Amino acid sequence: MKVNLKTKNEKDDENNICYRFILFIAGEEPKSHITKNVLLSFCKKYFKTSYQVDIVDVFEDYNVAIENQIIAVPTLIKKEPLPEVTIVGLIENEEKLAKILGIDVTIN
Amino acid sequence: MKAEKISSLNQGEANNLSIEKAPTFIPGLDEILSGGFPRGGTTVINGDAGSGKTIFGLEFIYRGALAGEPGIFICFEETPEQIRKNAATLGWDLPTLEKNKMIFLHDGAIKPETIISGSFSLRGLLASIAGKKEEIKAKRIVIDALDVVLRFYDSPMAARSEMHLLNNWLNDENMTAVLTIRPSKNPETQIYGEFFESMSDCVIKIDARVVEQITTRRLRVIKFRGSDFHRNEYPFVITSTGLFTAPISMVGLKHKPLGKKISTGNKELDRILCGGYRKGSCILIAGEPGTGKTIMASEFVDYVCRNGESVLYIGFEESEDSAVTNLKSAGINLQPHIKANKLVFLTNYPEAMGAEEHYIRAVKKINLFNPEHVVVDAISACPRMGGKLAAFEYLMRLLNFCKEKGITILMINQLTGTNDFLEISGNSISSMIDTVIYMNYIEGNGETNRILQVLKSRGSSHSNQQHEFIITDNGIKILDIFKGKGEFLTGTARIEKEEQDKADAEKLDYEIARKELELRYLQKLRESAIRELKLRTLKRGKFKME
Repeated sequence: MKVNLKTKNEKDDENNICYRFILFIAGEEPKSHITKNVLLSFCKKYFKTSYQVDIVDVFEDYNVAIENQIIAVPTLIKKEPLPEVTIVGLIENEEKLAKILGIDVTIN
Repeated sequence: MKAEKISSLNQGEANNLSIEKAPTFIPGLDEILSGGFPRGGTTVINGDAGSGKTIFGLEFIYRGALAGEPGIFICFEETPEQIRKNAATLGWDLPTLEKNKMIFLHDGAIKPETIISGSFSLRGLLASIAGKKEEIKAKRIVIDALDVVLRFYDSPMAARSEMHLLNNWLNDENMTAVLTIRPSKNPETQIYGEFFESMSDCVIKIDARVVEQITTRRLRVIKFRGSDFHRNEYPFVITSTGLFTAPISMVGLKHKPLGKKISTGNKELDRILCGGYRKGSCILIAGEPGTGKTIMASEFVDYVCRNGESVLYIGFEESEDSAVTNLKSAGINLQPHIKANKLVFLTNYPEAMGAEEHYIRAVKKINLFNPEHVVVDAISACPRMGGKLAAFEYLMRLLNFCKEKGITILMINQLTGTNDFLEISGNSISSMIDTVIYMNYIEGNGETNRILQVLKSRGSSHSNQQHEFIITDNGIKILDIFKGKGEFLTGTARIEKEEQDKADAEKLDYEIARKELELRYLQKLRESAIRELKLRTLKRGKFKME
């Protein structure tokens, strides 16, 4: 089941910074669950509306998982903006995510 | 190796009291495992880089697919494309099997630029495999270089629980799994390997050793839960079509009895051996360099090839062309036999590879070509394969193999004055040899002549005498034994003696004739003496009566 949380604002189109993520989870597996929540709250807080998160459950969509060579969960892939970054493992809080993505959250 | 239906194989194993096995179809390996890997269980193959463990796993999947069992191969170290390329060099067509959904190659490599943010679960992998397994109905799975993944875990406990997860999952899915791991030098990660080995049903250790500059690969079954297995170390080889192991202990004493007599190719030698060599026997032709051993062997080759039989000539010194050319001067032309595919050469320098590889190449060639006879020229070169023991093993196995198949094997042994012709590296092979022909030089009277002697001939009678022979434009000519006055002579001394004997014989004839004359003269004398006596007696008688 894909959950698509896409919201776009005309104003942000002009800024043109849109973050796109794919998160691979394994059902209700705890690490995946935590990471999912952290990601969603982070995006809502800092990207406001210019983001897209696709959530793929490997148990259901195994072919998509194979295509993306997913062996571990959770795996978070930042598709946009480039460069593409693959993050494997639990992300337990927003600070960590910010650090990995190289986003300075103090400003904003 | 021909793909066989698995069901029929398992039926054959039904008598075996051990668990059900998934055959590997790797020559020799299923014998060592008494059937194959444990069906539905996990097998760990532990080996260093370059030892060949990936090929083990890949061949298990490949041959399984050929036999109708779909399989999944997960690569953690190499890419699927590299795997396909490697398989292609062995003549395996993976892409076609992939297209037919008999094989699925999964790239499990974690890209180097991946950021590991924390602990993770292999459930992702398992989910993908589960889905794929259902899709292609996979029964076999190989995870190559599992230790690569284990390195990403930040704690041994986490790694262990994940391994449990993996192992249980594999067992639940009832797939026959093979995991390959590299032994770790790091004590921290060493436990992963040990842990996995203790969890698995079957553990095989393989390694590649360098002995006297030659690489030898060996495997050993360390553990096999619920089954009997052979516990020794077995050498194996990566051939051009995959793995091959020929365990010598498997080779029982199932020699075929010696067959009928066949000509040696040399009429005089046939007479000395009362018929010739026996089919399926082992003949050793030993002698100093230049005595004509190769010519003697080639006369046999020429003869049997002309009779439509085939020969495999294993050479260690000369190339095919060189050997054929050199024989022409002795009047033997092997070229037409090569053309008619009755004579096939297998030439390699002994140093070119290890003894196992030499042996396996010979076996493959024999299986492919099915010769009636095999020539080995020369066994004295074999220690250069990697040591004396290596040479002995090679020859023992080759001898054994030929005897089981009823193939006549003719071995040439170049003596150098320091080696005993019935010994190879201090080990006697005399019990395996049926006929020994010894060719040498003999000196005397200011010249050197060649002699031949049959020292042993199991299964037929022979004369122990030494025979002189010469090498002519038409091959070897063995001359009659010259026994003049109890001595054995050769060369000009022989000719001399022959002349002398002739002269003596003539003299004797003359003497006899003379004596006869004498005798007749004496007889005549006697007759006249008797007549005179009679006359005298008669005269006396006349006087008495008057």
